[in-house]
Amino acid sequence: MRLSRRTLLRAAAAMAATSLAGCATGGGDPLAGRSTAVPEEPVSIGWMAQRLADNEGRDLRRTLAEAFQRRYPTITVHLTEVPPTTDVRRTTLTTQIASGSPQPDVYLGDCVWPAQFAHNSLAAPLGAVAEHRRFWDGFPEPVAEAVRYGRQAWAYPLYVDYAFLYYRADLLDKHGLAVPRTWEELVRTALRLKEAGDVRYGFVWQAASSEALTCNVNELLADAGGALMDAEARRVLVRSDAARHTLEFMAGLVADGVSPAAVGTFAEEQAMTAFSSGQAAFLRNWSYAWGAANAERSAVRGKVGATLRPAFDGVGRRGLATMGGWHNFVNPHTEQLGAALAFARWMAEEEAQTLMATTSPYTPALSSVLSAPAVVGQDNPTFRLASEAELVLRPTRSPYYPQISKAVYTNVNPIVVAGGGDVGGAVDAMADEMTQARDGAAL
Amino acid sequence: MRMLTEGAAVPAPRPPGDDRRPRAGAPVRDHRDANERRMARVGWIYTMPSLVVIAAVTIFPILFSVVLSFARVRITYEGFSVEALTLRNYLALLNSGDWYYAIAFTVGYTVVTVAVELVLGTLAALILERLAGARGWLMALLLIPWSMITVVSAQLWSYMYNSSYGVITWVLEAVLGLESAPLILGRPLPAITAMMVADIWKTTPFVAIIVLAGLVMLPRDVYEAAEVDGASSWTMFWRVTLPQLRATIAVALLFRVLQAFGVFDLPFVLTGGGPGVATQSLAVMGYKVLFQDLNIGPGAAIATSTGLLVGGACLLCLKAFRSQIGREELS
Repeated sequence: MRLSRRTLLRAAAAMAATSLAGCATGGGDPLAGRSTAVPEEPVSIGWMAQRLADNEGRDLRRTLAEAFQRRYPTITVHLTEVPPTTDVRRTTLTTQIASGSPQPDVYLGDCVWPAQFAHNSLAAPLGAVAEHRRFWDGFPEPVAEAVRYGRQAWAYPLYVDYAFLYYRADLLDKHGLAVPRTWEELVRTALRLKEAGDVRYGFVWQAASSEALTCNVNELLADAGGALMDAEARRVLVRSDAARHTLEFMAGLVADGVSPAAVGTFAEEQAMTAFSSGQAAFLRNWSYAWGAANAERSAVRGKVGATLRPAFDGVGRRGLATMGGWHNFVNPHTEQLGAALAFARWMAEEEAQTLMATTSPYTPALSSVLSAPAVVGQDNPTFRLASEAELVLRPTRSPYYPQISKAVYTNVNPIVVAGGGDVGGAVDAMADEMTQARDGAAL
Repeated sequence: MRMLTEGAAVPAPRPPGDDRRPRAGAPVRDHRDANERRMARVGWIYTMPSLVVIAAVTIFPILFSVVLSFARVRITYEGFSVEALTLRNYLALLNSGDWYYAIAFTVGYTVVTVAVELVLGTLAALILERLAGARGWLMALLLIPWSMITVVSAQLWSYMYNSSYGVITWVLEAVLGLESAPLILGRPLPAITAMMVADIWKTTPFVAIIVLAGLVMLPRDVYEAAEVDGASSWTMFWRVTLPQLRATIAVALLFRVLQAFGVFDLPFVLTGGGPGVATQSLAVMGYKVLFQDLNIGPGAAIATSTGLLVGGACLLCLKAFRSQIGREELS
């Protein structure tokens, strides 16, 4: 028996070693020698994307797929089921694609994924950005920059998310207050509305120990004239007065009662709930918050305004916003490369972008569509605001972005929750851990 | 495995008084051995398909993961690519404060929750045993938390702990008269406590049911003898009930320790491992490093080290379990 067990173990070890030897070759361009032409015979492709509701509550994914099929009659698009959260989606895609699955042919991915997915061979390269200048010049520069890793582009943008400031227009009117243009003004106004007993919280935002907090730090730091890292995500710039000022401001919001300490547990959903249930005067959130605040079940329906994010008094401009949004990636193992590329690219072009921008709340990535009067002039003010805002990128150019982001949110969150503390120490720890993460040495 | 070995390798006992057999019966024994060997061969052939399947779905992945933990790995277009064999993954673990914290958290969480569950579960079982008619109903009620899928119950707890609308937050604030809403999941210690409460709520019934099963099997006569000797109910519990329950409690302990060591779903849904890494168990850390950071080598190293720790804990428990059984048999 013992001998047999040992034999079995040996056999399994040999199997493991053989399979390792088999996959140790690696590298190469997955598209080399493969046709990227749109097929002439009928084919079908799978698209993994979360449900996107249009203005009528219908599924925008189907509208897009049907419009594409009218344009390319030989290609049928099937929707693939998608896991509920961004992180679980990444897990599913990673295990599926790393094991060589050709499905889904195209998938909608977070705008922070390109470098990590490119580095780990989970996306197909879409050609050097420089060689397709005319195509990429059609997008705002940060959008085009965010899909690049090395010289190549790795995703076609579908929609871009901007962070805005939402406010209770009815309460500002009631007290004859102006919409704040600086953070200092926002603090005063929020405290006044809170003291008047109109709201429970002055300003709600996202400081949960998660990516949501990194987004908030990223744009507030830009407001203060600083940055987390340089544009290529090589140098860590966070050890700065601007960062210390930003953290002090965030902690001060809690310490002064402008924001509840609960923002330390708020991601987008919790902050949105606090605002749309009428508990908060101001909200920092993405474009979708306009629709959510004016939804049928919202307690503040019709009482809400949206504006550009404020600036710090005397520093920089208003309207800086962390860039969010979702892009279409192509599976490098797709068996329908031509069709997959055609579909992913078509969704970033004028026809699809216009269709999306005029029937749904999603902000188009393409500049020409975003500035079109039919789009900007809609009831939803987030389109107009988006055309005036300035996007701030997170250091997503690094393939180790998740670890970099973790270094940010784990160090800032306790400062916010406590409403103060060793801000200098937190900034130093954040800088050290970001450097370690950038080098791929962080766990 | 052990039983199989004993059953197969130990020769059949000789009939008593048959001491001539070794001399006269040698050819018979040879024939018998040959027969046994042939049977064993047939047995191996019959079980081979299932052994191959087991090897493919358990042994191979485990070994593969151990190999990955010693490798610099990248995902390439051709699959996982091992660039070099290295000890750096384990060095990275040894240099990672988060890893030490995850071990400390997992061990601490296991010790506290299992201890509380054993005490509460035993108490519940003692009460249940005394009930006559209502026992069935109460057991069914008790089993509801245990039968609930952890992902669902963790989500429900997260609603209750929510810092702006959670009922527990409200109770603490309104009833206890706290000045501001407590941040249950926003600070490390309250978050850890909250997670332990959710675990204890869910798994105490499991312990209670196992202990109850042991209780009803206890022989009545021992109690009668103790009563005759004039033992108080307190003495009876400590001197009669508990010693006889040792083996049962050991089973409950073993199951719970193994489950608690691998805890994943509860922190994943309730806290996401946060705030910071406050509730990050080894399993959650392994998941994050592997699937969020796509850091394959170190992720495999975390998985392997967790496996070793769980294996060690399991062996310790088994050892304790065996000695308990031994004592039972002696007494």
